[in-house]
Amino acid sequence: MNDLKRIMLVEDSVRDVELTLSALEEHHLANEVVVLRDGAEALDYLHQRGSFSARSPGNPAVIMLDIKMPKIDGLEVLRHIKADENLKMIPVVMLTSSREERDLIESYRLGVNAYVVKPVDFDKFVKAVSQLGLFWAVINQTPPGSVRKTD
Amino acid sequence: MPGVNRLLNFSRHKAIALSCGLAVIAIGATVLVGWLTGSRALTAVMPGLIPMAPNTAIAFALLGTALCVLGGGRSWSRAVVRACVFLTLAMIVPRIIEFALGIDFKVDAWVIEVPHEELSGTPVGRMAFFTAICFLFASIVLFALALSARRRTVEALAGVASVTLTSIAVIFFFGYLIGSPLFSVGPTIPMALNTSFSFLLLGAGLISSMFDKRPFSPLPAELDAKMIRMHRMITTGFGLAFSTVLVASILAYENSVRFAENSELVSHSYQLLAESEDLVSTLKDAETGARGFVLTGNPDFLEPYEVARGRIGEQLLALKHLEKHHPHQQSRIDGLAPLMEMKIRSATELMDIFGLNGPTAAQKLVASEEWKTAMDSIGTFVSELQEEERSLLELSLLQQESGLSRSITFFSLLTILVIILFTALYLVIERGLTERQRAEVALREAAREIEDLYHNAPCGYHSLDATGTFVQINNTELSWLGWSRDEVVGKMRFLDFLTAAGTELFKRSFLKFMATGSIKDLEFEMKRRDGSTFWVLLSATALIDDRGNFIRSRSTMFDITDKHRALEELHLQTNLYETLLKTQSNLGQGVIMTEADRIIFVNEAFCRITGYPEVEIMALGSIFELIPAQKRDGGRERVTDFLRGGTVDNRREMVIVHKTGRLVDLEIASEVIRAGGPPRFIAIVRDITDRKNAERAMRTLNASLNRKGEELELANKELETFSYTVSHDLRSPLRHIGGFVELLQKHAGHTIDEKGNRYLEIITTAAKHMGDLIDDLLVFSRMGRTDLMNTRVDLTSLAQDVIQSMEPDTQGRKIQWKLGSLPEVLGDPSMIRMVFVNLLSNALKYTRTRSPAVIELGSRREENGDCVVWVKDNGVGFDMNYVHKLFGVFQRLHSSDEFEGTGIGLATVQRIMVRHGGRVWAEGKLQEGATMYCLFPHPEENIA
Repeated sequence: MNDLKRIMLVEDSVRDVELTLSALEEHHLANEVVVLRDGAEALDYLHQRGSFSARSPGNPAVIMLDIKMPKIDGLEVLRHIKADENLKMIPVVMLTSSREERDLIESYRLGVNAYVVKPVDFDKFVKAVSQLGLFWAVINQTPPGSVRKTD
Repeated sequence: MPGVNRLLNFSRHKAIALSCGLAVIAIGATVLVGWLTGSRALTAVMPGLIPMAPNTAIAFALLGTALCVLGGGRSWSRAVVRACVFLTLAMIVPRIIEFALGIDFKVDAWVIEVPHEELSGTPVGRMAFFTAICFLFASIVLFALALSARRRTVEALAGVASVTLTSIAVIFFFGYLIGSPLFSVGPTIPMALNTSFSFLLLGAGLISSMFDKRPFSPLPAELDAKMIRMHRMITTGFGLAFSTVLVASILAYENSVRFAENSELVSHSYQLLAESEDLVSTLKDAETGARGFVLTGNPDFLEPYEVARGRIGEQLLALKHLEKHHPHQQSRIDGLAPLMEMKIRSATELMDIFGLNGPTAAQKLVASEEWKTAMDSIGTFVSELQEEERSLLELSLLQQESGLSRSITFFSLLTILVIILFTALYLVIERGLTERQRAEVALREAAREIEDLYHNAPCGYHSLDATGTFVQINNTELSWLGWSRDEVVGKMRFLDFLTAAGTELFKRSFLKFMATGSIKDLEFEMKRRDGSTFWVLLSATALIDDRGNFIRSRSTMFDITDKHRALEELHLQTNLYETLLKTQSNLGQGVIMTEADRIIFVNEAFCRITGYPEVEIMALGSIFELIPAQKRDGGRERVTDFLRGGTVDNRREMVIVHKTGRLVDLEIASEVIRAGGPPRFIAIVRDITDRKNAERAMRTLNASLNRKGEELELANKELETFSYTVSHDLRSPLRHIGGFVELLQKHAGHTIDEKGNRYLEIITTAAKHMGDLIDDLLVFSRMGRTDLMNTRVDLTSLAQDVIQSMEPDTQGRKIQWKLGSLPEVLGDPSMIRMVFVNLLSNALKYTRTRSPAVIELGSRREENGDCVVWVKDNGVGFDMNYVHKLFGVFQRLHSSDEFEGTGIGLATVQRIMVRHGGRVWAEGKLQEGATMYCLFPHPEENIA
């Protein structure tokens, strides 16, 4: 059994969080998933500040980022991450409903590692999420400093 | 005071005349006072001189008054003059008749009684003959001068009369002064000294008063002062000579009469002496006879006695007749007569005594003392008579002798005077004639020079009469024309030498010329005899008579052919220039020329552009009147800079004010012309108001387009936001529906019955379909707004690629692809790909019921270079009635049950094709397949 690394899910929709988690669970990937409800929370978490100042240090293995969110949206968070020396090595996957080209282009321009459109079809959704989780949290070699589940 | 002014305005001559008149009145009045008071001192100048007659004094007073008022020149003064003259004549004419007929009317006593006394044998108070004559002359002169109408002859006669009267006065006056007895004493009445002096004054006054008239001042306008002076000298000289000769003739006559009378006296004296001797001898004969008879008794002795007795009475009468001029002698003869009778009677008594008493008594008587005494007293008486007669004879002879010598002296003097006068006259006349001759020679010389100038001056002279016919022409003009004078003068008209063009001008000008009297600088083209022409510049003045009638012209002509040729050249250039301007005008290009800012020329187009007629533009004066007030200063500076040689872009735009007040945009190309004089500014302008308006409209349109564009952009942004919302937020609930239905099935699948599961299935399918719809709509909308790439797209390879990508969906189907040659087009590859995907998937979809499905791709090129690509299938086809619905969004011709679909695909195709500048259309028939056509425009025209 491979090490399961920490997945950070930034998603404002409770339903999507539930669907995502259930999809990850189906493949037993939901153990170490940190769910954050908007960009501000995500950044607080990453910088260990605010309500997350007491969290254990370490960066997640992957960040699954929705684009459309209240306060600070996904693209803003992505820009911030990729601009920060400590964070820019964290793989970021956009997991979004948007098929908009400009979102796609902007994301890649900011240095996103993957862009996944949430399918309407649940099966496809489950398949996509679970593959994502499997790839980034299990198969992919994370950069140094990532938090492992076992840690 | 007008009277004083008139006095002050008197000329010198009139002043002299007035003074003389007043002096004459004064003398006349003085003499009259003398006569009335009996003061001889006042009537005569000196005692022993003849006094002035009272009538003479009255006449002087009258004529002096006439002379004084003569200068007044009014009608009343003329009336006064005439009255004085008539009164004078009333006294003078009878006096002259008295002289002429030798009758005594006692004219001189008509007014004032004159004493019957004599002075040196001359009766006192009687008017002299010459005085009367002088008064007659003076009256004539004054009467002539008082005539209202001036007549030269009358004036000349009056002049001569006044000079004559003055001359007579001079002769008498100077006669007195030299003491010539001829003028003081004599058998006729002489002129008094004060009379002659008064005539002198009167004559001088008369001459003075007519000094501005003929003959003293003849035709003054035409003669110079020298000639007038000479004329006066000749007139005066002739007057003097005339009066001298007149006086001389009268005196000579008088002298002859006196001489004759004297001679008669002398011969009478001699006769008397002889007759008295004869009487004595007769008496002695009678006595001797008587004595002889007494002594002898011889009766023969009685014969002489008888003869004597018969003759004695006769002889005595003859004696008395001879002594008729000597009353003294006559009384003596009267005294002799009784003695004689007594002697004769005593002789008779002797005869009687002899007869009665015999011879002794008779002898005794003869011898008696008584007889002897009677005889002696007769002898004494006769000798006394003779003695007296002898002394009378001696006196007469003496008088005759002295009268003769006096006459000789006087006439010699007169002759000398006349000779002197005539010599002087001759000299004056001769000098006058010489001068006149010299003047005439000079005049002829001048005339010759003028004639030479007239004929040979380098310009033409001629004169035309009222019909335009030549009356005179100079040689120069003749030589120009090539005709001779005889051919032209009186025969040809000016018109005959004019070309047709000048005829009308001449006719018009000639009429005007005759009316106004002058004409200036007319240009005519004239024909020579040889037919060649030349140009002249003609000016003329008219010669007009007193009544304003045209007599003839005085015309000058200059040959201006050279100048005219130059002018023609200039004219040609001007024409060219005008044509150019006109052309420009026709092209709508206005031309304006200014001197500084003053407008000196505008063409028609300029007038049209500004809306002002030419006259009004010229009246504006400055070009700045056309420039809107707020822009004038800059404009003026611009032009000033320009004229100073500063730089001004030679093509610029400008705004001027149209006459109606609207603004007109102009494009101006300008130049400075420097050709002497102030620099001129010429500008060619074009009305670009329309263009400017179009530009303005375009700008407005652009602005509104920009606004529209912005609005569109905004709308696009909103649409984008909407699409984003749709793609993100609309899909999320669908996903949630699908997801949670799935979860529900997993979670409670076993507790839900079959019907419930079917419902869940429907929910899932519906959500998925909704998702497809949303996706297709998003694509469709994206096709409308994303930017187009524009690259070469090879349709053949693209089609192959799409067919290949569809293979998974077509497995198990028998499909026959017919791929014809497709062109290369310009466009957006991903969009064109979308077109092919849609068309080919449609073809596959609608041929699902066919086996084999035949799908054909082909293309053709239109004449205009457009390219049509088609996709033809043998599918279910469609009803052409609904072809218009084929490309509408959400429009479907088949139910979802038959053929699934969203109804957006063809709408997307159409949108893409339209965006590429092309179009799409379809042909089909139910159950017989469909053909979709796409037109790609010619590469140069596509891509909006």
